[in-house]
Amino acid sequence: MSATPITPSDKYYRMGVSKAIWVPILAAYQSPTRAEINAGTDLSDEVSAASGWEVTGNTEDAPALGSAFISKVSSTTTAGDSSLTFYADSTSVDVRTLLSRGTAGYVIWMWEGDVVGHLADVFPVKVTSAPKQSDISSVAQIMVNFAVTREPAEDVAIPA
Amino acid sequence: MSGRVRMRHPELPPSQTIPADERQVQHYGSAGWVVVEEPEPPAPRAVSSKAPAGAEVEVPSEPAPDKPSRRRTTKEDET
Repeated sequence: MSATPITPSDKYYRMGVSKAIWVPILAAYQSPTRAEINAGTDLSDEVSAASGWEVTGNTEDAPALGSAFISKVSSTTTAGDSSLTFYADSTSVDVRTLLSRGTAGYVIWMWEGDVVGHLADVFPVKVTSAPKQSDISSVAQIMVNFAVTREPAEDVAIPA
Repeated sequence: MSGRVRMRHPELPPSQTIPADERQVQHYGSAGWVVVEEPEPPAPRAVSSKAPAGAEVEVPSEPAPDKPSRRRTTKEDET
């Protein structure tokens, strides 16, 4: 007898599947409604890169005189600074008209797409800056930086 | 600097409005949000004139309302 193997995953590639949605208001961000999601903006087609968007669990050392082994105790959780990079528009009508500095709202990551019952993460955020990327040899882009202002709601079921 | 307006979405409760600056209006408008009128600020309350020093404030005397007498229900009443 051996342990039961974990359920095999149906592996996928994020591009073309995952969605990032900007939602300006949620009554209860732990359980967004379909109407609130539909009132949001699907950013996916303009996002060229993403960074952060994860909750990190911190630990504290708990040394004890009686042992040379230093054990760990789980402590705080944090969500590091996160960003989305967008393509810039040649007429300046791009993400700058939506996500300017100081704008507060929610980024919903639907990792496996907008499918009812699949799981999403909801990040309450505020835009801290939106610098233009000055690399002259690549497609013009704008990086929007976010501060995660409250504890993200993880693994929220996508509503019907 | 652009001005600020409030917007609401017809599919959301009226209380769920968002602040938007003028550059965001077009974008949110394409997602169905509409500009709503800002509620007018409440009119300032009239400053109450102070009674002159030493003047007694007349308190209207009203008879205390008759309190209904409470009566504990006894088991005899229930039967």
